[in-house]
Amino acid sequence: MKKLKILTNGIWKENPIFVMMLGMCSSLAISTSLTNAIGMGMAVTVVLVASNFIISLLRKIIPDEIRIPVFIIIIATLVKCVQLLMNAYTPSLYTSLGVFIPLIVVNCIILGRAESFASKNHPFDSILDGLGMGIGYTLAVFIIAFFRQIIGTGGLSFYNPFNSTQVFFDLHLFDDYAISLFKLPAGAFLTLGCILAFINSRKMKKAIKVDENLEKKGSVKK
Amino acid sequence: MMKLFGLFIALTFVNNVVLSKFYAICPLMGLSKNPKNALNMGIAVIFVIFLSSIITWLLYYYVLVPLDITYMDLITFILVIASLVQFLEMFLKKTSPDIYKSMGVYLPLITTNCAVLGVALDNITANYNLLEAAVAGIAVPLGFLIVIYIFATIRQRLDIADVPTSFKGAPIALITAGIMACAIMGIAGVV
Amino acid sequence: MKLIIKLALFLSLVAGLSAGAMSYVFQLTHPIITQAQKEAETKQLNAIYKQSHFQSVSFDHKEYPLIENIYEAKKDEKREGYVYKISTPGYGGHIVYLVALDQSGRYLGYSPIDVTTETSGFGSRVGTKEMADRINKKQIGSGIDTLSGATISSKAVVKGIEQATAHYQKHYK
Repeated sequence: MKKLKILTNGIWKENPIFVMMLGMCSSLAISTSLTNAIGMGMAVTVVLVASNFIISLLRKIIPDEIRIPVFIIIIATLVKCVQLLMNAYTPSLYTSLGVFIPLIVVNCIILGRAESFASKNHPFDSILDGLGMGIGYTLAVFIIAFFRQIIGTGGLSFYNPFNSTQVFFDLHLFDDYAISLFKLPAGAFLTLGCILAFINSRKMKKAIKVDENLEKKGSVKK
Repeated sequence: MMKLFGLFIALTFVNNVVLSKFYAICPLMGLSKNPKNALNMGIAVIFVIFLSSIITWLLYYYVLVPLDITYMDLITFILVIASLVQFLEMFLKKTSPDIYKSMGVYLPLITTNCAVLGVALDNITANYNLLEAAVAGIAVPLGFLIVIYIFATIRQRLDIADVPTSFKGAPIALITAGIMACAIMGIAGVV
Repeated sequence: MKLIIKLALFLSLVAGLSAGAMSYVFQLTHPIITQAQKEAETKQLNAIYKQSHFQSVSFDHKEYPLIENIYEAKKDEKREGYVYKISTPGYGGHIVYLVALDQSGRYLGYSPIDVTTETSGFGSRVGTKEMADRINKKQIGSGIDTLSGATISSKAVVKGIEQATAHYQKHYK
């Protein structure tokens, strides 16, 4: 039960993008299509899980004074390996994600989880945490990309990231009414702003409900 | 000369780091509520990016390429940046404690600012020569400074403005950034 | 002092290990990457001239700095045309594309390879059909219109084509 909590924590309650607002650079930049979103999400998840695992294995050996440089070296190595592998096996995804693959190194989520979770917990828990956070990141980017692609291009498409000729689906819904602003950087900011506002409003409704319930209970007791 | 000037304008405004390349959004959202702090942060970033952009360029073309180990670029760059930030911190602490006091908090944050690593990597992928890399090293963080300063002043006003409750805080800040990005697109048509 | 030496040793150990890991992955992926790039290039060349045989042609790079490569397309020993790979400085970096100068005296198969450095939504339009329509099937040597709103990027593309044309007219006409 506790293990499940570690996993789901990153997916919703402490979602890295929607709640903690970490790693926004890449999430805004690459959320132009579902394929990019999934590809980037996978890359981040792999790096997160691996870095969490390695760092929690080494957590007792790493001297406290130089832990940050050591973390950075480990993360940079992992990112470079992922970058090389993507260049080899997912070339089209590699070109469309571009500089944002190497920039995973400075993605605050990864260093943040290394510092706040992996350096204090067991390897298995750390893997779960990394997986949860990675899925949370992927989910968030997927949602942003969903709205941006459907408004910006008037359709939705999803390719196999490993083989760009294999198309899973490619819908054209209202091509003539696409608002191309949403493909541009400005659209990314607007989309994420509206999604965050929507989440806020849900939270407020929930909070009001809880308050009402408390009041009711209180009045019964009286 | 004209070409360098064009590059400067392009990198400062049109391809603005924050609003069109999405680098450095974390510091923008996180700590740009006070214009004075934003200004200090911006100046510190100019320092670091200018130096790191030149050092990483030299290291790449005079060490990594001759040794044929260009796959070490990422780790070299990030270590250069981290030690540069550390060095700047120690230097300021010794020579001018006043500036250190006002900037000290932001310095460690610069290491994880995507703009620093982003510029170093872009210099290589865009095939810039040393002079162009140096221009990029000033133009890009200057664009960051301008945006983060304007953004901070806007956010100060937003605090007293009557914003719908669910938009308060981060959402309205993002929408503001979106509108600023639209404004910057206008310049793209001019150049 | 002893502590510093210990820390430095630890740090260099970690760095050494990571360098080893990276070089291993590099050795593993490098052949695949170069292979894939080569395949992608022949695929793009084949998209312009189907079932042709391509051969690189040597040229004076100093005189034509924007031209990266020239391929001669031959089908059954018959010359079909020349494909120029051009890398031209655009807005934020280099725009790379292929364009064929056909024996029929027309431009053919403009295909962009790398436009990632251009501003998305503006300069990046040189990577779309919009630009290709302005080039394909035009008479060689006739002017090519730039895209308004993407002036710098499309001018850069046109400049590259002009250089290819100059080379073509001097050597192959």
